[in-house]
Amino acid sequence: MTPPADSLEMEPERQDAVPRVKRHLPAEEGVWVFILGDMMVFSLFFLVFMYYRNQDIPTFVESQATLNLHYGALNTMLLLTSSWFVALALRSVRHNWPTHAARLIALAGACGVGFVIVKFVEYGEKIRAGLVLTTNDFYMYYYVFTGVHFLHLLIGLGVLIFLWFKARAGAPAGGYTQRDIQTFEGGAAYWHMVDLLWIVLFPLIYLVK
Amino acid sequence: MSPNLSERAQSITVWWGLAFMYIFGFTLYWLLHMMPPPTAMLTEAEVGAFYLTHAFDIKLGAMVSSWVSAFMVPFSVVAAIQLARLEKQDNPTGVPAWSILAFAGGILMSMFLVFPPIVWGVAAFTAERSPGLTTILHELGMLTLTTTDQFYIFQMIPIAIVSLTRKHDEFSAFPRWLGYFTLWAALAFEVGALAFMFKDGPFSWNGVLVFWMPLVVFGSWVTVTSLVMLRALGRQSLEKRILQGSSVNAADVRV
Amino acid sequence: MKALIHTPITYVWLLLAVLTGLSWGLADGIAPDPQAAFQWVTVALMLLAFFKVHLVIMHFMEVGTAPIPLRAIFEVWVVVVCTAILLLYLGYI
Repeated sequence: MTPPADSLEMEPERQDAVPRVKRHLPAEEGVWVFILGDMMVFSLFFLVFMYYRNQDIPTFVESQATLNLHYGALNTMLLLTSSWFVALALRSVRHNWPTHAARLIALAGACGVGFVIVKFVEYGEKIRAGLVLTTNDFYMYYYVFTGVHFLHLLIGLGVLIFLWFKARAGAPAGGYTQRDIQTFEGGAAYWHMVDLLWIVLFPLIYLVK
Repeated sequence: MSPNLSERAQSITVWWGLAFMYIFGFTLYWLLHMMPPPTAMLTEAEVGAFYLTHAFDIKLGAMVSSWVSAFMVPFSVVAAIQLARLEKQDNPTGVPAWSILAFAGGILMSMFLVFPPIVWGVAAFTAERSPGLTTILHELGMLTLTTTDQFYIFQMIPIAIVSLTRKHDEFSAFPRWLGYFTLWAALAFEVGALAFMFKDGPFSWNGVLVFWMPLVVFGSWVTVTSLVMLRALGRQSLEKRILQGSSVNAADVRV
Repeated sequence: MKALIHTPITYVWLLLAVLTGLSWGLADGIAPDPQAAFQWVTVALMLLAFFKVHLVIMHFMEVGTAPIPLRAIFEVWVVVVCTAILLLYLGYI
């Protein structure tokens, strides 16, 4: 089972003085089963994309030129910032500051909603230009892979809403229990996964020349 | 409240489903010639020729499938009993609604696995007919097999919900990690429906993301869930024997 | 609030943001010119991306201080996936 939250998380500033870190498994084991499973699926996506790209490089390069890389880069920034807010929220939870945590989760959610809006604008532009799922192989992968990622992001927003309600409800008397902190850790880890998958998808689809 | 099906009978039922799943898999490969599936790029004449060549194998495969392809039924019965066990802990007299949904979902899932071999069997039954007609049947079978994974969530989501929201004792057949594993499997199936859109590439019915990935995920999900249920059933039956005061061999106590 | 933000996580975020800005500019600048060393820019962008992934996993997900087996799985994932993508890109697979 998981060891109790240790001093490492409580006092990160003074952590340098500690020669050996006490290892701590954030969240429950099952969350990591899910995250690693999902990362396996996405790594399959990445390799499939590169493999089929090699079969028809001109189409991929040509179609990629019609993408607006600024949308993709902006979304990377939004998700990174969102991840940062979530990491700070987790820190607040460990310090028993639920009010801060709720605010930070709301900010993280706002960045996530920003991602959704950018994605809608981007999909809309492409569809109006007649570039759809069946246009060519490049667009097939573009829509399916960013679409599956988008689905993960929407689930993540649901998780953030759940965590927001949990933080808003305030810490129980005597502070958050180990179980409560694990719940926040699990949601945070999932949200970071959504972030890191986009960090790879973005250069893969928008930048690889 | 204990189920009428003893733990031992439940274990046998799980093995029954598991064994039949693997026989079904081998039938798909050896007899039906649908694993790996023939590409969706075949012309009508080529599909007709495929069924003429393999008519006997495919009919034999359809026959074997008639016996084994409903393997999700025994699995779903035990899964529902074990889910109800967790659901009824808090509320012994309530209706175990998630277990009922999981059961219904499992039976629905079974239909989509039972159906394709029948259709292929029909296609092979009079293989010398006009190839166009054989092609329709072939496509119906292939697309039924690959695009119906999405219906599986009606069994998987209740399993995940019960596993993640109920209290567990050491006899629980659905520990929390299995709930997360099940959620992942349900999510990994979602690209299957794309097979309607493509005849070539990873999203066609013989593609890596529509055929192979769901096949591996499904096979491992059923296997892992079965093994976890079997372990829990072993513990449950041991506990029952201890409570009844019957003799327990030392060899039994390593569950 | 100040005490809250004053943590290594914030510096990691700043580093990630700078790296993202860097690859943004890099990709935008050289994109249309196939005569340039575009292949190596792509390799650099991919390596940069996986370095960012590494930072997110180790610091945001806190896998850096998680038990060794979990950390090892993630490190292997990063190295293997990045290598496979680059080998496919450069035509070795």
